[in-house]
Amino acid sequence: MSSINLTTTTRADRICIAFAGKIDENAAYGSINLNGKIKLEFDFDKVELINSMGLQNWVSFMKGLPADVTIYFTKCPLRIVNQMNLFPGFIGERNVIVESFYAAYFCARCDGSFNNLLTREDALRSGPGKAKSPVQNCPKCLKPMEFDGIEEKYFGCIK
Amino acid sequence: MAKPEVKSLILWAHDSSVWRPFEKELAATGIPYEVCEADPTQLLLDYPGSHVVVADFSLGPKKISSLREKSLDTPLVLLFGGSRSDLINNIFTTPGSNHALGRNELVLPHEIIPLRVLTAPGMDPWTLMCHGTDLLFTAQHWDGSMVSHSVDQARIVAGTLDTYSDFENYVATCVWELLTNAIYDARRGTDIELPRNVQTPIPTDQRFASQLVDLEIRHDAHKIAVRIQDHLGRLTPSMVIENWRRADARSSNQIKGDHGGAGVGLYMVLHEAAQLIFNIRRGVSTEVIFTLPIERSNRSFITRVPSIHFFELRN
Repeated sequence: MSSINLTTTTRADRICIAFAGKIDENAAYGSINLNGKIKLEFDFDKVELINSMGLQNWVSFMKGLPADVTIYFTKCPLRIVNQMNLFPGFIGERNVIVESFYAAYFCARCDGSFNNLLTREDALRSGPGKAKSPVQNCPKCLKPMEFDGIEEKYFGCIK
Repeated sequence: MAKPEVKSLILWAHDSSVWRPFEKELAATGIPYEVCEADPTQLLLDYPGSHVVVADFSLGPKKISSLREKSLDTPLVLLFGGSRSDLINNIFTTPGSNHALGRNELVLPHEIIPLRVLTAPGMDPWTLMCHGTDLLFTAQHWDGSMVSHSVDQARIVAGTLDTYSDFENYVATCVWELLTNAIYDARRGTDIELPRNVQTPIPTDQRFASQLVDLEIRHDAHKIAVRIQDHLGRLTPSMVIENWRRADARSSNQIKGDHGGAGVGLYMVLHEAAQLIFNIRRGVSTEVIFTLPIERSNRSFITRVPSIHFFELRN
């Protein structure tokens, strides 16, 4: 039995696949019917964990996708962003656009830790190749929070 | 001269102020120590077998190698303040060094435990690690059938601790990799080898003691500590370091599936644990202990310099 569930929906210009579960050696991605679309979106919001065998299966899956398809990653949890930064091969040598992703923020006043969903545009306000953590306000005290990571490392995969 | 029961530490650095963060914890453990800025080789030769040297890696490989050559039997710990890549490509290339102690501004009590083990031979790292902790989860594995359950439980219990977001995923990933390493990779080439995709339970009457893999998760105010132990003892420090180096060299290029998950898996653990202790009894057991500090901020965890220790007993 596959450790990951795939839910496929079609939008105007793209096929969207939402993953839910674990990316491991049992994750089965099947074959993707593109129905003539040239854009493919992978939604990672419900991906819980990823292990080393899953990582290698994932890379094979990515490499097997048609070369003429543009791939978008959306709602990437910290876990997926960390894998992309640690193993650049995670994107399977493809040109992937990370459209949205989570980032950790910390409010020292409230002692609160939050994972906020950011867009590529949020991170690239300073210009291409200069991804930075955008200001995010604490949902409790409404004051700016600190980005809770190493900015240069974490935003390295946002291009 | 008779060997004393407890060895004393020699903390060697050009600038002795680097040891200041360690003073409180060393005093708390009662380990005798002396700080020196001069080469301690003569002291080691005068009192053979009486000391453990903790040397600041910034002294340079030449000085450290010279001490190593003249006093082969003295355990050597290198104090280190760089990245994980530097750690595996520089620290563990220093001959005779199996211990790297992270140089951090705040030293936590459990980071001193390997020094206690080195100065008082016979001490067991996990026994010391458990002192004053509460048990969060324990499980026995004979095969891969319960791995997923244990990974989920690890994630749940780690999530109950008051820490930063993603803490539970760091813990669960390390548990996952080390369990699968012990159940599948450690058995490769033996008559109890299990193919990676086989997760069916081995019937009780067909189990061997050598198939047992123990998992234990504990915590206190400072840390979560996890122990995974196989009963084979096939892993060696050089295998681990070689795996890390290979994974590090190609992580910037691509991930290949030609060497199973072990290399990449251990590399993931290297990046997700703050302290790693390999306690190997050759041909008997491999115990891997990892800890993560309990902190409110993710940044204070990821900027922490890791400590890695290899204890190896050859029968």
